[in-house]
Amino acid sequence: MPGAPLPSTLDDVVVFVSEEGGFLVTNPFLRTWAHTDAAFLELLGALRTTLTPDDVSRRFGTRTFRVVDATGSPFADGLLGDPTGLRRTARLEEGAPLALADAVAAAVRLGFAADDVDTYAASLARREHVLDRGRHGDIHQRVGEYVLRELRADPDAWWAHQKFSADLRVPAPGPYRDVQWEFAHRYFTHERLAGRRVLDFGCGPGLFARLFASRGADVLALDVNADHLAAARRLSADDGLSGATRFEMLELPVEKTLAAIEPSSFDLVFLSDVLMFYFHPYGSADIPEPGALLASLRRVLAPDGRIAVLEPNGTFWQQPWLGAASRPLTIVTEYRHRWYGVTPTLEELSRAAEDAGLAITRVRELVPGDAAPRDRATAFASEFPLWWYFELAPTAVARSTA
Amino acid sequence: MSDAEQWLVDFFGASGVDAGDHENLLNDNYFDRELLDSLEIIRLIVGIEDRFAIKLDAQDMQDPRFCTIRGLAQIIDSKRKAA
Repeated sequence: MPGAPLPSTLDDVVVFVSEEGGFLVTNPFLRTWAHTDAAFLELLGALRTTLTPDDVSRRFGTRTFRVVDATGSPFADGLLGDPTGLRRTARLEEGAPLALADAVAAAVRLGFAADDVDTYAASLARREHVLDRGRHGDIHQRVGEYVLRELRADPDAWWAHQKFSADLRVPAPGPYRDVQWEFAHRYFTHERLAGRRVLDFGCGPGLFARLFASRGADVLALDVNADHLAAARRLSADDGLSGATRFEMLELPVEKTLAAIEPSSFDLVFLSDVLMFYFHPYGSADIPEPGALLASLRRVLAPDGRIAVLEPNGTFWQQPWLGAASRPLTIVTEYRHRWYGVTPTLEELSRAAEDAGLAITRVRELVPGDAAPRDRATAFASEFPLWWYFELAPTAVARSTA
Repeated sequence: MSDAEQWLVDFFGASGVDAGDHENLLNDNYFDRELLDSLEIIRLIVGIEDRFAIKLDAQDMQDPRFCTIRGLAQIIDSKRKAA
């Protein structure tokens, strides 16, 4: 390939030394991965310099390179599993030696080098529409496509399967059970809930509604999914909790459903993995701004009541699980511009609360309990909280958002 | 109407698009007219791949013909021939 223009190695490339003596190369923005040998690293180094194509050809033309694509999907383990996108079973020995031109092509294909760096940079953005293939897209834009096209699965069923057992009764093994459920189980005690009126907003199959009812609360639970509501009613009846739980359809627009509820009806309004969808809507449903939703919820809250919000952590959820299995590290590539994350920043959450006349009165960063298995997921979640918890309380007067 | 066109018209019908409301459903830009939402477009792609045993790639989706039933049917037919 003498004379042909060469791509440039990107600033974004990160190299780890792999256990097998080779190297593990990644572009953490794209979550592409490859096992490589030292010759390929040398080549990436050369493609960062001003060497001419002829120089590169002279230096590398007779050499061979090993590059084994180890890219999986950040969604392969589901949204509650390992989001690294690394196929951990891939091995350097799998690959045949490549000639120079093929190694350069692999570097471009894997997102380690680009023919045009500006085009690459512009591709790291939300897609304008579903057929926009020039942009990488955010998690909302990619996950539905992954589930439908790669897994040939139904997105709702795929999602429910990650959180719940097949009968939707208990949380599935994994961080959701070991972190979020474990926290709620421990935090929402009988003392905190007995005799309290609770609104479970976005209740799904009623896991938390049944927990609250079992601890003495009187629960109204709302959801937009009729199948989940049917399961919630059945499971609640099985547990003898029908008298303390009502499961009702959350009709759209949600403000209208909430407006039909008497003011000050609840001591606790609970949202688990719900509020984030009002910051980053999924699908085309017409939903209110997060501040407007919180204002609607504040209206049905007693003056001394609390809104409890459980959400994926805005910094660490969906960040790669790197490092030793028991000694995790991560590379944070985003906070305000979310391609993998979906939750609001702290400031966005605070502003939405202020808009609604609410103040954040408690923050907890949730980590796995003692019963969690000793694996990579637990080690990561123990260092980098995967969920956080907020309590919001009404302020006397709604503040301006200056 | 070709096989592919008929299958696509049926798909749109099953998605709630009434052909009677569209003078020329085959030539309408269904994308601009928002006849399908983004998830339905992905279901359309999956449906085409399953029904016609082809794979639609990024290049196909950038093809201006992709956004009409007639054009999409042409893409499907050319890929079937090439397969």
